[in-house]
Amino acid sequence: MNFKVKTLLTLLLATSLWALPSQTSLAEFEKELESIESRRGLLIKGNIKSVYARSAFEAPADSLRLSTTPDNERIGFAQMDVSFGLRPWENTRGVMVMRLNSGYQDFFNAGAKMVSIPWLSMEGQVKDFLYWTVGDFRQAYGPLSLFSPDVEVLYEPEIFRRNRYMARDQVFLDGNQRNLQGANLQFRKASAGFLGEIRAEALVARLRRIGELDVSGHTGNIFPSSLGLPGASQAAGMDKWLYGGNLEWLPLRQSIMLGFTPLYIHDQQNTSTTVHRYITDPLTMVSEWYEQEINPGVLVPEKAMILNGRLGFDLSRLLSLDSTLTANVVAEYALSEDDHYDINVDEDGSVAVVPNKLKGSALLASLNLGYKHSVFNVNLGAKYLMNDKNWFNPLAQSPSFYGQRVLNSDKDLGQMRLASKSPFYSTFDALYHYSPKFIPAPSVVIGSDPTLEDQTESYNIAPLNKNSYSTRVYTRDEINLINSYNDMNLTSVLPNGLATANRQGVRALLDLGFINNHINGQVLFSNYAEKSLSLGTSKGKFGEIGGGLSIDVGSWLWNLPLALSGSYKQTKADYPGNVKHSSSFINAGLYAKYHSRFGVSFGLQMIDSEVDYAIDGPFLRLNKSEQMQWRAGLDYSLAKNTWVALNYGVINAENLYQSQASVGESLQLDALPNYMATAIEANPESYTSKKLNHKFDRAIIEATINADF
Amino acid sequence: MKNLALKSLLLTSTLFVGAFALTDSAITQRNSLLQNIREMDFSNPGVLFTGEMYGGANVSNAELNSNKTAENQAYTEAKFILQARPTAESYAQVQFRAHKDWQKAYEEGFNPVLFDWWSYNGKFVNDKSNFAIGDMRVHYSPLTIATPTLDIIQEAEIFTQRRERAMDYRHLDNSNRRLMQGVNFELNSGKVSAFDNLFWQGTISRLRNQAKKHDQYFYDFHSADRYLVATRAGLDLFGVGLAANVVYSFNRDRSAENFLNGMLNVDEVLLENNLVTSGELSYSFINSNTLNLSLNSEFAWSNYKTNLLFRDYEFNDVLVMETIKREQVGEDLTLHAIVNKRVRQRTLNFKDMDNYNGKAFNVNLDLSAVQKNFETESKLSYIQNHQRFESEMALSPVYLNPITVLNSKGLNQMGVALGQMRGNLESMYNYIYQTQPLNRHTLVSGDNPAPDNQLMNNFKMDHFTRNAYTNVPLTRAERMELGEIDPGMDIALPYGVGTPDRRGAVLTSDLLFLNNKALEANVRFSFLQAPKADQNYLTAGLGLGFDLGALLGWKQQLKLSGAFEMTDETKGSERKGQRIAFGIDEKGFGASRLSVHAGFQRMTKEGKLPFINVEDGSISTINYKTVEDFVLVGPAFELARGTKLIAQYGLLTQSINGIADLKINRHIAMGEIQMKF
Repeated sequence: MNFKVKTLLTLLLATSLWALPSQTSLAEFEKELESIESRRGLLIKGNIKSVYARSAFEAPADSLRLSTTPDNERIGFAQMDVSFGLRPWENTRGVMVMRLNSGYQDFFNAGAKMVSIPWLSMEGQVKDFLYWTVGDFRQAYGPLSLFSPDVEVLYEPEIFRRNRYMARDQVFLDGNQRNLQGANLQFRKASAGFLGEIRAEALVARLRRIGELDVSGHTGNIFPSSLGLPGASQAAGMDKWLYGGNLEWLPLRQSIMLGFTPLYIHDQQNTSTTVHRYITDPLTMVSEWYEQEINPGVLVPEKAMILNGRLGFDLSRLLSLDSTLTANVVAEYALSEDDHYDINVDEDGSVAVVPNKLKGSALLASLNLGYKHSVFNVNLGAKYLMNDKNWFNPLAQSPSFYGQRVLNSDKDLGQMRLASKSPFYSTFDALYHYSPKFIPAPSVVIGSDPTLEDQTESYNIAPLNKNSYSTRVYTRDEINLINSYNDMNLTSVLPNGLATANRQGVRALLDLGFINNHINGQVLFSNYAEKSLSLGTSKGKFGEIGGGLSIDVGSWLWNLPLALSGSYKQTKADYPGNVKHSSSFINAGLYAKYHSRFGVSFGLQMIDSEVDYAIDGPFLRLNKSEQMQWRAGLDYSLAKNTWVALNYGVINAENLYQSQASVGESLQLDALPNYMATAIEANPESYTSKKLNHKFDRAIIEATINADF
Repeated sequence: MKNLALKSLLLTSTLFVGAFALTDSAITQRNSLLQNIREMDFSNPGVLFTGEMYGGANVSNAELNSNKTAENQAYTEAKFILQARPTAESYAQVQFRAHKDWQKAYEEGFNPVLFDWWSYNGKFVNDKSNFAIGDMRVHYSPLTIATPTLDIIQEAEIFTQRRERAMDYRHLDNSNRRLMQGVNFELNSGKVSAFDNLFWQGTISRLRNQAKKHDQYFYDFHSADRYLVATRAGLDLFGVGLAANVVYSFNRDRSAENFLNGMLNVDEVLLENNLVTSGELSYSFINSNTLNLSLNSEFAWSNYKTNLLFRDYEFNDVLVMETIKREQVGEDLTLHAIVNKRVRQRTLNFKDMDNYNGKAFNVNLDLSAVQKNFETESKLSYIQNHQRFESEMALSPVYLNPITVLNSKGLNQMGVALGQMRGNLESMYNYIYQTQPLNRHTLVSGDNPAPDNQLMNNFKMDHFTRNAYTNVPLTRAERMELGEIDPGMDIALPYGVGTPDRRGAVLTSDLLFLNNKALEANVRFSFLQAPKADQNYLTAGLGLGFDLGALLGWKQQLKLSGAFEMTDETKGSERKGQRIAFGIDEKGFGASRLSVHAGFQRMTKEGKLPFINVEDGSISTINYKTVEDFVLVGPAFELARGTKLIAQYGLLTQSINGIADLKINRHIAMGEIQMKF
């Protein structure tokens, strides 16, 4: 064989040395054919976002400039999500979303550019009744089974709504659907007759993967640097699996709904392993390697079984009046059995972790009555809830919102992990801002060594993602920890949505609309109590009452919006243990369009809140808080979620800290602003007042672009 | 679909592929058609976005002496190939992978893409010459630039698919071309005067990149840049082929100096230079469409030279800036002065180390025949390699020693350090591919992650693999560190035909019989001596396969295969290896889209290992024997063209008798959807 033929064969066939010509030829041929025949088009969609925000922090209390951290934070990034639809019109398809993110101010740092794949899935169908998905998918069955609860802002001004949309979209949240990764199989068959529609679904998802994690980083730790605190670290000690099913039958023209959803979550214990940690003994100060469980927060393998049944009747559909009449009732009942643990402390002080089975149930009954007319529409939605104390379903309870510190978070240093309990926390900051990749300043800016001594308790000096929204499914410990540190102004009544454990009560929402809903009003009422006593001598009570109105004169009269809206909501929560919280939330908004695509907007939000810990003691604690945010802006928008906007606004807060210290007793400092704490510690004698006032402002210039293509 | 012409070509070609009895002309036609399809596919200017997606779960439950541990892979993964063709003659290609492990609570948002292929290829001068820039595969000759590949006879399809997938993560494609990054060009004259061809090829490649960040830990940590320059030229004339190859790989001294200047805890770097020149001579006795008989030979000389760059300390007179303080009344006066001082300085010096030459020679009689009822590809070789022959670009195989792939964390936790006794079948047919956050636990291997806080970096995910295949050319020093090659592999020629210290004969023959080529046979035999080590190696193998469906004239395929291979070493560690394999592949029974595959392999390894008695420090040897069985079975269902649903179950058992008696059982289950696009 001469060299030419040899070279040609090598190049052409690229096969193993000893393969026979005909075998090689056939294999190569089939491979090539399959590859070419599998190319069935490409569909490219996506979204472009760009945010620039400059937030200037100012606090009169820091007139001595004890805080050396930066006063200004500039969030600036451009981001494109390119969604590739692979074989888009075939009966098997692939979807990949590629995220290209570039920070404005770190052009010198190639590592600052992120190319990531936040969504990867395959889907397909067999005939027209069997559908499958593998990879990322979203699903929702019902508020007690599979659901992603979110916070609710009554008549949220458009100028703020857009920011919240972007922050949620960043993590692929879509409505109340829960994001999972795994496989989902759906059978759907509908007929016009009595049988109606039958749906049968099955899903498998891995909720956690075993893996090592530094316990002191912001990412992956709800409460960093707190090894051993249950729920602090999200590193999984074991693989956690979810197996679920859903059967729904909607007979009689889909006017009756019978649903059953079993869900089973378990930690696969034999996936567990250990890691070595370099730990300094606090007594001997000797550092050594210790073999430990990967996630010391997971004390026992957990297992949860949830059985959910739903029954619904839609009168309007039965009578074929659903275009004008709404009349339906749905009842959902669920049982849960959760293998958790108890911590027993013996008389000699020894602590033991004992497995404990917690059983619970939940009931949700919903009634919707409404009528639509050409001039007016009215709808009353009422819900009755009765959830046990031990009721547990993380797939319905894990909140999508956990209020985080975002703007000027450098000010917090080690207190950032306290979330809403951080002294610089603002509800509006947590609701409406996010930063995909923030690089924190070291705790000492000048002449600092970015190594050991500059790591804070809240994060390592490494880029971190600041966003209050996430798609995570939490453990029971994590949910408890989050509920303790989440924003009471938004989540005190139902921190985990309608699936919140230990709640019993009603909620009603009356919605009235006139002239094609150009004038719309809502009245909200809810009143819950703990179903069973959890602490102290009296059950916790939670309630909210509020209402709002929006008038869109422009759409009514000249077909371009000129909308005014406003709302007021009062929330009260008497927590067990005699901690009382109350807050009022005011929203006012204006949105007007001119020249068809130009818009002007204004929004105002105010929250006044008060916490009464009612515990005598020397702790200086946040007692009253007044928060306000206003923002005005101009925009150019093509569609609801496609805009270019330029806004200016201010967030300010005035927090009053009080102590029940008796005369002569020295103050115990709780989560105070760090410069105040420093000043007090430096000169404790001069701070004898039981009250401390702390004001801070953020002036925010913001430009945003959001475009779906 | 690209265009109508390609579509119609595909249509006719699909019919053509169905043609059963393949004669030489049919093969030639098919190759020509394949070439045409590729030409059409690759010659239209534009952009082509293709690749594969996978999604599913791969579970391994391991049991070690009644201890149980499980490891789950649950993932969605995609391999993308993006081609941009500015002209009909050239194309740029980028390949990248995306991998998502289901689901780590904190993972959202930072799952990076792994770009692992960038190339620009093209043709010029009437398509006779070509160039490649970036990632490329280059082959010169078996003793200069080549990759020794695995030669596994009658490997069941279910195993082949898993092996090829594992190798694909390293961009290994079963060919003997070597992966490298750099520039390669090849000029061919075609027929000129009496010459059939005149050719010249040149290659420049950077083989290693010196780590720039010595304060961080990397797996691809190199102390010096390493480069390759190579060229070859030759001619074909009246059936005679002549070629000369020159290959030189070396470490760049200056990069090693940089490295030592930055590293305070490393005092020396070994610099290796390897020059290989070879001449090839071939003569084609018969060269027709149906029969090729040729004699090919290669003679190579090598030089291997090393220098040690080391840090030394000496006293030198140097000018230094001194700060002098004088106290005056009422004030301090600080002066800066340049003074001549004798100080202890670090210096870097070179020391010559090894410098030796080696030779290698092989001559091969190649027979290739394609007849109506018979087809063969056979080779009879004589090999004679000097013990100091060194050619790193040809002596680095794709697979060397087994690693613990499955349940590695769980098994290590149970105190298992198997070393050479690890399972070959486990290594060859399994792999782990994950994305993990970079932190001190994932950046540093073993049980001793550095306490340095700079390694805390939870935000960034990166791609991690456990894969026994390698595409890295190993220098001699690195190869020596590997120690003895695992007897599960071909210990007679572990580094390919250039394996140093070998003399003997090798016969390989692959045969197809019958009109429809339904009967296959493979013969392997070699007897080699290692004159320097005074050892002998014997390998023998026989494989048989037949398609029962084709024999009986069925439309369905029912292929049965079996093989036995053994390798044996005298003296030294007295390593022995045996492989028994069976396979069944059926296609078309019951449902046209359904195929069922099954395979079984048994690997038996024996040998001696040095054993150090901790108590008295005495060194002795112990005998070990491992038996590894792997049964793998599963169906594949074609959901659509290029989309398959695959389920597999495997039982992998290994018994080890040696330092300790261990039995490891693994139950492996995989469910996956594979989709091409």
